[in-house]
Amino acid sequence: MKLFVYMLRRIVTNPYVLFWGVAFISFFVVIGAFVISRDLPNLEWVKQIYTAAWFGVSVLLSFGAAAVSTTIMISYQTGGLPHLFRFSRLTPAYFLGSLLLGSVLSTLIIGTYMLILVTLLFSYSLKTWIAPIDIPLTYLTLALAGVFFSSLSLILGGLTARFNRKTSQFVNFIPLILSYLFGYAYLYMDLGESVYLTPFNAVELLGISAFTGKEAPLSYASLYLYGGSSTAPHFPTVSNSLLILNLCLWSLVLCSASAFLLRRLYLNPVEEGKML
Amino acid sequence: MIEVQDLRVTYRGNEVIKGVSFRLETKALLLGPNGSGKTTLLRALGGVVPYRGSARVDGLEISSLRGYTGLSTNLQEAFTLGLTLKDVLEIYEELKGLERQRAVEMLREVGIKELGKKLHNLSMGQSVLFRTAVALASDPKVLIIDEPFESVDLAKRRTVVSWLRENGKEGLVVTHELDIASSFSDFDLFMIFEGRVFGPSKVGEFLSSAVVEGEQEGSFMTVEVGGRKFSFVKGREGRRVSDLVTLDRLYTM
Repeated sequence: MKLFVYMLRRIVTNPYVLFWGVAFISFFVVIGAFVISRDLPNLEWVKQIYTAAWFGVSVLLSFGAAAVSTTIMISYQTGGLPHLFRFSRLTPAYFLGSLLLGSVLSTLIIGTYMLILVTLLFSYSLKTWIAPIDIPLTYLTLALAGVFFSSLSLILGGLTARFNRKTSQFVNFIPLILSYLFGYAYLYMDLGESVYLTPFNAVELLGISAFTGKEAPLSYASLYLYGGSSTAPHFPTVSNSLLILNLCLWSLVLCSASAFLLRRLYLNPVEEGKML
Repeated sequence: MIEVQDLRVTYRGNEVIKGVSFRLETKALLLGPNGSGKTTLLRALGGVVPYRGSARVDGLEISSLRGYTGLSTNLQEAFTLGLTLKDVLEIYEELKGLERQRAVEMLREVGIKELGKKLHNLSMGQSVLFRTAVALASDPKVLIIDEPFESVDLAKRRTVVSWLRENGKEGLVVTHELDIASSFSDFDLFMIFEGRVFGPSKVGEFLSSAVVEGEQEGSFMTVEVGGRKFSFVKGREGRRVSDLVTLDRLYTM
């Protein structure tokens, strides 16, 4: 239990997470609410989906940034794990469980903050009360995102520790890079059915679905938001069940691979390699 | 009991530990110059790096071991869980059965009182003292202690000596400093040069001996350094070990 409490505290009080995952994304949300929204037509459905898209992308980017520090933390911790698995009560399952639970709680905390921030700022800016509709789906999305991002961090941290620590500076940032890449690709490109393939889009789209209470558009970029009709047009939507399945499968695969890797983990000392 | 049989550790194709074999049922000092493979040997015994051959603790092969709490180490790699000193104590209390109050008292003895400090912000000497105290405060049977006197000032070295003498039943204490060895004159002695371990002998016997080049009849230990052999002998012949100051001197003899 102490390890879990430590993991949670370590993630939510990490200065990097607080700055890049919370403060920086909050600034982004402010820009979205007060600057980019200026030309938005005064239509309820547009305001709602616009706000939901900001919620979806802000949680994705926020969790992506938090996952960078989790990956760094794991890369650092992996040096000690081979010793502790052999010579302490620490088991791979306990380590994995503590990390997943700590990450899920931290994504729930950060996600709740983003939910409140987006709701208040966009409601104020757009002069309409725009609140999240499907709260259970919101928290399910946040929890699944926590499991996915922590298992991604674990596999990346474990792989760099196992094979090549020299690339860790780049590998640590993979969750953030992919979050930005897929997050914005959905907003500005027509990805079609391929949104079902990536867990990053699954987090974003489930966030949108949860916020609007309706299934998210398959292609946000194809929506004619500016100057659109007064009633919501019919557009193809995603299946929330498939997105949830996507996140669960990715998390399961990454967790299983991480557990496999953890059991075979050894320190790969870079310094000695350089000296020899 | 630690039993090592033909132990080999390789980093990127270079063999760092070269077929080491020994058996240890008491506390022993492992002396060796910088870069001789001391820490790598401890890392292998601590399950941190992979090895070939066999290394057993209480009859259990280290590579396949799980959940054995009778061994403690101060190796830096064992302290990657926990950011502050307080975190480390809490986590080690849970994972290693650390006696927290005892650890806090030991830390006070060496002037470490502020437990809110981050481990990586401690000075080198403080970090060594902290890790050594935590390793010993879980009342381990087997010790694997790496350079416990590194950057530690003289007064605190005496405290560390008493900790190492009082705690643990068996294990290895590694150092490259010959001057501190006299505090462990009743310990067994092993020496390591270029990834090869020589011994056992007794620390007291070693400190009162002399070193001569070549294989000498009647010597209690012969080591190979830089392709040359040196024998440790009793008597006045050769250079006194107490005058060496450091084992690196063997390379220039």
